[in-house]
Amino acid sequence: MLFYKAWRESRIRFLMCAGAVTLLCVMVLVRARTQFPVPNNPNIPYTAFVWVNTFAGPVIGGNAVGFTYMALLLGLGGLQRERSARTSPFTLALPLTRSRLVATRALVGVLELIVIAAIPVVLIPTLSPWIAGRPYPVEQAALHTSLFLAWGTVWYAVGLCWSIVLSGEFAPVIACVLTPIGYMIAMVNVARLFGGSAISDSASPAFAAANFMYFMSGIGQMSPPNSGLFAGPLPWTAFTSLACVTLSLVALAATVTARQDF
Amino acid sequence: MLWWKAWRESRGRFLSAAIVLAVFCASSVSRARLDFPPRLEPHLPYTTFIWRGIYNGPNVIVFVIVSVALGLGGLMRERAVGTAPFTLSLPVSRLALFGSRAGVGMLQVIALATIPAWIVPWMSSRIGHPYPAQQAWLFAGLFAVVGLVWFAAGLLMSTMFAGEHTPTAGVLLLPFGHLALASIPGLRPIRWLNLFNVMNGSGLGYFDADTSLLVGPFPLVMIAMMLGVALSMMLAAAGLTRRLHL
Repeated sequence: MLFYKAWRESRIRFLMCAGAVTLLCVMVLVRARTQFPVPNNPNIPYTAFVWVNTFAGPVIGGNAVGFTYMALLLGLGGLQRERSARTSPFTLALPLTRSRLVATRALVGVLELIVIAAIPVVLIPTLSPWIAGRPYPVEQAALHTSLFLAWGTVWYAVGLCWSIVLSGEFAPVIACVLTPIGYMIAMVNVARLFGGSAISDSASPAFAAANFMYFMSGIGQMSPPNSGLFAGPLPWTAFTSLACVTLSLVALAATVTARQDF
Repeated sequence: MLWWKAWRESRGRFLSAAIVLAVFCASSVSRARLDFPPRLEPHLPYTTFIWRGIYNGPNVIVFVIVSVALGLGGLMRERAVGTAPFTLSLPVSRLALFGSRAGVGMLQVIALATIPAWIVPWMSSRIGHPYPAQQAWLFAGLFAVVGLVWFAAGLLMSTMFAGEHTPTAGVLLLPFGHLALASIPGLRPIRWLNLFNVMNGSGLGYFDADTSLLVGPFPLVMIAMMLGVALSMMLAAAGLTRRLHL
């Protein structure tokens, strides 16, 4: 029942995001049909074309920013929103703990995010031979998607926290819009303090994983260079660290919710 | 009084965005102290370094999203929170209410667009890499004009959608939807259809790709067209506001 409630509250946002990702994937393949091989650079492989247009974006990490905003958008809602809509007394009257309400919302949101991230894994390898006339390896799509999901869940948890801490209709939205750029500013300056360049230098693996645009694009582990193929082992340390950050943020959200005065 | 009301309703959005954009610009310019010229591109002009970081950087999408978000609010939102009857009982027309909100929002968008023009030339000269102030103000002009188009789109959305999350989702998805549309193979060659290109000049006649400077005559026809689009959307929003059944 709680799952259904969380789904009903977020399904429009979910469907809008899923529609946008589906549109992006189909358009990439339609473009591949007419514009591949690229006239200016005929040697670029098809995997690189798909990578640039689907997983990297017009600037490296551009599509990662789009996915980040989708994750943040899915994180909005909850009891603060219900308070402004004056429906929170009904929800709070349910014989359930507040932690369970937050956990259910987090679980449904993460599942929605996984479904959205899985759209390219399903669509691109399936439709590529039909639309573009070229195959695209499904494992490559899955690898790139895993990178998107690792940071995506963190951003989802950030959105969840903002929706719980901030009241009002626009405050959580603006906080969500500004958080990624605020994070980038902070990270670049911290990296500079430690003598690294957070934007493109892979000399410092910690900063490479902390730069969400760089990490989600997968450019750091591409081999051969400019092939669009993710090579080497998956960054399990980074995955584990990001999962811990996500869980900590969800736990923080649950704790704050438990103490809020409605 | 109405202008004060509109300012109070939107100042949180405006001030938080202004602070983040200003810090971003300052941070990007101060990065040049260590990272310019880049190791891989030792002959990169400083103007291109700035263009990549600020006029084609992640702050552009934030500016666009904030411009749309500044257009949100108004009577539909007040209806959702139950304060619309108080506002409607004021002895002013709905057009006056709408006009004050639009006026304050437009000034806020213009103010946000000029932030790089205040910071970039000043900080660049402090770190020994002068950046022409005239260029910064020309870019500010382009950002302001396109920002007004996005703001007008937000204003129109706020009068069309009553749901709480629908305008929010629209705010976040509209710029990306626009990018997707402008990337359709048939439309992609028409560079000015992509508003992000109009803002930073990418691929357009008034932009020199080698130096990343705006050259030649300012695109007044394009600017007039953009302002016309913004004005049309605002008039449509005003018309809808007059007819709303609250």
